[in-house]
Amino acid sequence: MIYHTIRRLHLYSGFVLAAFIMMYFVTGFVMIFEDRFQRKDVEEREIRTPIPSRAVVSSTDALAGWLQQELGLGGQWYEERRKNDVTLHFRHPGTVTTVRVMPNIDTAFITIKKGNVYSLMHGFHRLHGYQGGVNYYLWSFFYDLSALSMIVFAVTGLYLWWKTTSKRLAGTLVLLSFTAVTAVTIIYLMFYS
Amino acid sequence: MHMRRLLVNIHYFGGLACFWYLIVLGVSSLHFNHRFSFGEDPGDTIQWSRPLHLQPNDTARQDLSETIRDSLALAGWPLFWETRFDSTGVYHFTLEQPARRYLIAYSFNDYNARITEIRKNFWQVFVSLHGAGEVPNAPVMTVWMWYSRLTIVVVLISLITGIYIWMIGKRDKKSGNIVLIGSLFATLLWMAFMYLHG
Repeated sequence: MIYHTIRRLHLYSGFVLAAFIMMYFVTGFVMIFEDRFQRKDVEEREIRTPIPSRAVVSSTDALAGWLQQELGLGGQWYEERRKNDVTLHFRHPGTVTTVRVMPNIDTAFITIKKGNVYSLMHGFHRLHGYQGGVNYYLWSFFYDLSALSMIVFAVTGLYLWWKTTSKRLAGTLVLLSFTAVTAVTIIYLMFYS
Repeated sequence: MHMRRLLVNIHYFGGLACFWYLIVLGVSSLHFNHRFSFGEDPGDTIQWSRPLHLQPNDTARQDLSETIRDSLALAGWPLFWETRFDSTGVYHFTLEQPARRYLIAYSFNDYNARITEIRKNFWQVFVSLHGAGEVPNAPVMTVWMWYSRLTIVVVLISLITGIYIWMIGKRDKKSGNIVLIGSLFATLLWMAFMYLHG
């Protein structure tokens, strides 16, 4: 009974998240071999737009809200403050929009950069955090599920292997070898690096 | 039958080999999404200094940082965006690696390097294994780099072999088909929407 339940958990969680997990490992592959798969901007546009009222930019949240509504900027954003300048970076996979607002100038300076397919892959891989609207909340929720599934796959996989095989020596040696690799790496980093 | 046995073995042994890396990926990904407090502790800080005879020359800042790092026998990547000369001519840079962060100040006046060493805690080290590849002057990390690469390949193969093993079996066919095909389409459509719409 337990075996069948765990087998189904392993199977269906794998199916539900298959494409999501596949995406993380394919994009992770591209990130690891970044020398071969280099990110580049393929399109860059600069525009200026008047800001109707200083009241709009009284707070960064208000400014971000106005920009999202008026200019249709989507994605997650973060703020960068330099002296009196405020720069907002809006990011969604494949596109980064930078909006710079300066004191006493009622104009926002906007740069839109679109990346190549490798930038897009980096964007999807790095996309996380409960911020940016419903779409991004849902993405982060699936990100959490994928993270949990890594742990679930590892543990249920170990259980299924243990239950379905009688000759366990080779598997135990493989598991112990890579446990040693992980332990040695952590000890080395903490005490000898 | 031989093919099925082979695929099952690849799935099992590959999975066992990657067990710990999957745990690292799971825990670290949860941390990236939630920033748990145990992974954010500033860590212990110690300060030390060492005489170092370097001559100011025209080498680029990155080279100078790497020369100082190598002379101090430290491991890590110099961060170019945290590199500067201050008004008294002292050279400052940050050296980062999975277990430590060094804030280094080198003076050409007294030929002395002053190092502030910030030691990361266990969880920070554990989480940093997510993307840790080769670390300069840390040869052991090469093994981890190959382990992470192996895991990526093995997980992709495990996904494919797992689906294949299910396909040639007899259980959960109809419901499995619906869940698998439905989730594949939904995920791809969703990604396309996020790319186009933001």
